[in-house]
Amino acid sequence: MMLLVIVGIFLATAWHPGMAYEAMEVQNGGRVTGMVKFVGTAPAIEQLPITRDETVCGTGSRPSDALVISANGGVQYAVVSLANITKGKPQPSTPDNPRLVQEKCWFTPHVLLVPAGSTVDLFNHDKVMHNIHTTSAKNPVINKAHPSFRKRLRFSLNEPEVVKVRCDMHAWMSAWFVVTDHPYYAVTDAQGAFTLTDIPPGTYTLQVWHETLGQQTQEVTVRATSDAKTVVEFK
Amino acid sequence: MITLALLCGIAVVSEAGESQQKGDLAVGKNVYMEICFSCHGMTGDGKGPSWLNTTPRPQVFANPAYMSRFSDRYLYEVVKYGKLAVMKGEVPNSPLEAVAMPSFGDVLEDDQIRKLIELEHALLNGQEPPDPEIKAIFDEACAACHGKGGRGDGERATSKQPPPKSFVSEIQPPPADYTNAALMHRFSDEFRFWLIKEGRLGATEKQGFDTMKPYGHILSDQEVWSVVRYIREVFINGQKQ
Repeated sequence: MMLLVIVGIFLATAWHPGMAYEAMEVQNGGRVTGMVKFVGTAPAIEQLPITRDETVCGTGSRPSDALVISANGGVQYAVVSLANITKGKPQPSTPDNPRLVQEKCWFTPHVLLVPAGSTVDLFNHDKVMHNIHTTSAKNPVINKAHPSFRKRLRFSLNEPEVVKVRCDMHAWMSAWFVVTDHPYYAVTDAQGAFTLTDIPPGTYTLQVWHETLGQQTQEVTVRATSDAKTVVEFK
Repeated sequence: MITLALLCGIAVVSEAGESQQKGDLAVGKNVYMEICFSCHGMTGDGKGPSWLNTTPRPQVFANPAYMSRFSDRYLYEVVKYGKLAVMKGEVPNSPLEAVAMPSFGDVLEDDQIRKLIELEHALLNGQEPPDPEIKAIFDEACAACHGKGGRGDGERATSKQPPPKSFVSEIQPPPADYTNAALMHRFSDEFRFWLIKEGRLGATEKQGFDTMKPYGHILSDQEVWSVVRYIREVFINGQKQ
């Protein structure tokens, strides 16, 4: 129980899901574009040793996704969101569920945005068994075996929070589900860039969370049909 | 790479000595004879006065082939926080990544699960696997942890340590060894069914099967380490008293 509380505090400080969110039509919305940047000497990328199932998983080591910094300092896999937005466009409705793929003993994508209430499709493209094992405070823990003879598993995530994902079979595999309660979220690309679109004009708290670098917030003002350009720096 | 593997191996093995540094054998004996014996038995045979009250049955400590695969740190955490908290990763600052049996209910039919249990019985009795289809499922889904021969020595369990020599499993708790009678007799077929279908946490939390309770609220840290030392030295290592 004590740890539950500790985990709860950690997630609460690391993550602020917005207040109750109301979907509406957004006309002449603005955008927030920008970059998440690491300033200073970037630490070396951690190399994760591949220790088993080498015919499928490969040999040697693979660079970790836990901190990926481009040549110009861009931070990949940072999650950018408008923390205090209460009204705006509806969550995207797409025919496909959010999907996480296990291939060559690696999760792709490393960070997956999951609108709360969605069904997640989990694929195993490998000829070995994986298992998906999550760590979460609000959603039930998932610990499902995923042998190769069942290509797809499905489960739903209903509560907004950050969920850590691991495979107990292959200790180097890790990923994150970011369960969202509104659509103003983006994951930075390999250059550290992000774009949030169709935002009702107003002043918002821009929140950036990264699994290794932590969290930062800054204020951003969005004007109709304009781009608010911003750079968020970690040191 | 080889150096890293060696270092990891040493780190895992050296954990087994932690109770010797932190615990006192006489204190451990007192705690054991006051509390633990009621389920686990005076001789560590898992048949104390209350042994019939739990499903699965209490752990058999006097079973060196299986028990030597546990690290002292894991035993310490289970006594102090209870097995459920360890399995759920709720132990503060734990260096362990305890691995609970995952659920197979999404990928196996109930009938396939029952046939897997038959296969477990066959392995214990030294018989050939009864059904080739189920053997194929076993090799794909179970062998990574439990080993091709079901001895709890799959690649994930042993890492770079050399089985069948006694080893401390890389993952804790060590995967079941289906050929170990003292261990396997603790598990009813009904328990095994739900264990495979729902996983270890599901079997406990949804189906209500028993698991080791926490004793950290009544035992000091030193007492916990001491009782782990007692179990290690007397029951597992067979040290004369």
